Amino acid sequence: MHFQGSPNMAEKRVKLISSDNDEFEVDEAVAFESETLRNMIQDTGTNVPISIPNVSSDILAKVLEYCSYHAETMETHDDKPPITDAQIREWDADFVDVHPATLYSLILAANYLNIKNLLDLICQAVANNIRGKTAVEIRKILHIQDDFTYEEEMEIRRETKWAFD
Amino acid sequence: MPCSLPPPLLLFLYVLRSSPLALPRLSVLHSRHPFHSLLLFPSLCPLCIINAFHSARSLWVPSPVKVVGLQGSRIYSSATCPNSRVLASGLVASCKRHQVRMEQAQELVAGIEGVQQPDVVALIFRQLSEPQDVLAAAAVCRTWRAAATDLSQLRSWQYDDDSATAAGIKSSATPMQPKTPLPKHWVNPTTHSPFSSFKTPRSLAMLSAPSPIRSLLWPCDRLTDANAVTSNIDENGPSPRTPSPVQPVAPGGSFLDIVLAQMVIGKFVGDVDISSSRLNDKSLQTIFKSCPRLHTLRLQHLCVPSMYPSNTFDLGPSPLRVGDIGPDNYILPPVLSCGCGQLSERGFAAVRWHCSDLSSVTLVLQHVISKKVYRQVLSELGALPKLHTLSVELRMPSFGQSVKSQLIWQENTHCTDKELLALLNAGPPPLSALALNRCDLTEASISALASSCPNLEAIDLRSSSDIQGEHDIPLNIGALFQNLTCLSAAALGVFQTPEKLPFESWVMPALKRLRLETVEPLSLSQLQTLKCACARLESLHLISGTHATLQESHIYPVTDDTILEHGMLNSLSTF
Repeated sequence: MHFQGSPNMAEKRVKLISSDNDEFEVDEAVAFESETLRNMIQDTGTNVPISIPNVSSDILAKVLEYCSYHAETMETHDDKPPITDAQIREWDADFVDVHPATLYSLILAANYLNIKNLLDLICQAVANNIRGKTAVEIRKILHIQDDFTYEEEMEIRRETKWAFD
Repeated sequence: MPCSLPPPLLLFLYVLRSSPLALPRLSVLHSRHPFHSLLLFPSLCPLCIINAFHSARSLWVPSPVKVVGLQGSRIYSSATCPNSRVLASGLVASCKRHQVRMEQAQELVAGIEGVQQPDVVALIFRQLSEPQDVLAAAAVCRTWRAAATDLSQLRSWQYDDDSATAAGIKSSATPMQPKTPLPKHWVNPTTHSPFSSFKTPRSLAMLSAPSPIRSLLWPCDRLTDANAVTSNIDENGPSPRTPSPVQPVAPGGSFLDIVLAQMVIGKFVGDVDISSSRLNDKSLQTIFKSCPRLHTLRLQHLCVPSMYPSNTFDLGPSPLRVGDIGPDNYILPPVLSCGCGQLSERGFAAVRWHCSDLSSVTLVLQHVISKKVYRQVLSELGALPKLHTLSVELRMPSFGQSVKSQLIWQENTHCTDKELLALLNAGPPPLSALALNRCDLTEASISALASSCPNLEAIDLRSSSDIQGEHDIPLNIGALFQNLTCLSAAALGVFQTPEKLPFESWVMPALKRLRLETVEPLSLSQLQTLKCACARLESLHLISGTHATLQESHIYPVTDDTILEHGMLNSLSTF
């Protein structure tokens, strides 16, 4: 799979290998959106394929789609009008409009690859999902187990009874 | 996992024979009789269970349940099954039939890991601003609660009368940029501007900018004190927090109502920043009682004049307003009066017990009108066991508009030895930076300060031109403050005469920044002596002259050449 930020920055290419051994080739500028990849590339150069053992190919493809778009927004083209902030926000909103399971996997990937903007975007999406919900509803939405002991839960309920109603 | 359920319900075996449709009943049953083990019989696909547990919004897996699954001849167990991750992964490994669902389940497993990583949870928390959302999220699970209560994740709460945000409230899980720099930021070796290098907090900018109220009430040509003169020096203009001189009476509920509603998340709040004329004792007490982990407090209690009669002449149920005709055809003049919340020492009562972690306090008090109140406020603050930074500015209240009331306030609102000793005797607090204005101190209290607070690194004790003190900087100041890196010596002696500054004894090896106010400019030899005494001096901010002939200069870096250059410029200007 090939991800290209923009034609005029396609000089150095970086190979990434997902956990299921799919190979991705991206522009260096796209890979540099990730702090983790930037550090790896600076250490090893662009000739060595970079293995990303805990990100599957479909998730890595999504992540690179995000990086590619945002790397492109940083570029200026003579023949194209610049991408406005509103357009970026709209694209970001569409990007996070995915199945919750994919969203959560993206959190892990963004966290591992240290892509701050992506992580913020996804956390914002998760926060939007849980806004206005009770604790029980949040657990259901995010499939989180209530691991409080009986005493802890009773104490929390005493403090904020309405948060569970 | 330690079991916390009542003994009679420790083991309750539930046998599931039917389809996943029975799972809702299972959940209800568990809510009534919490059980610890669950036996799943053949013919029930484990992934169906996962699907039912995770997809059906009304279901959740009770955490202490031990799941044992049977499929054909195989038996698999989720062991103690602390969470659904173990359950899901165990079952996914066993099922061969529903490949697609398995993948979904795997994604779900990953997702659960994702939203339970502390740093990720912290990021999610930062996006939540409503108290209800924060509380609900903090009650989700242990990981989320730990993230909410983590010291590094304590929230900031800000209220500003002038804020453009709804109701002036802003809440953030990250520390907000302080609008008034803390005294520890006064010393900034990367800058060399006289204003930014020895930047006093806005709260101490009284000498630099007249309050809007005074500007309104006193034409510039009537300002006769140093404030008016030095106001020209401040290039940064009035503080952005400064409220407009005349504000309408705030609509809606009282400030206390706002505080009560917002402070339900008090246990997650570490930083409170209030700029309001509506702050009062009860609200402040509510904040202290609600925020046991408060570490930073910034209060700007401003006095805003209101275009209403302050003391409503008791003229019946509807008090007269400006321009109304009163008894005997008396037309009420447009009276400017103070309609602010009352903030006194009672607001700070027992703060040491409620907020023992409080380490930084910045106050701008415009309603302190007596030394006794001020003394008691300082006494309460001085008892804080972790107080490292204290900055208090007293400002003239808006009702100090008449010459008489101005004189009364000036006469009664000082920081004398008694006030400083009240601060020290209550603790003493482990101060590293202290800033007070309207000081009228003697060597006795300065020495007490040095001995009580040996870790002091920055001092800005300012006086005011209306305080007629003749107090010299202690001769042994070098010995008193060995660790000092930053000293504003304006108030240690009010407008020092150069003859009374024995720089040869000012041996302060750590001093980097010095601000001096003198009646006459320092001579070249005095500056050279000072340079020898304070070898690490980097920045020297000199203010000399009287009101009409105020001169200000800044030497940075402090080297022999720059001192010589300054001396030459000085001598040229005298010609």
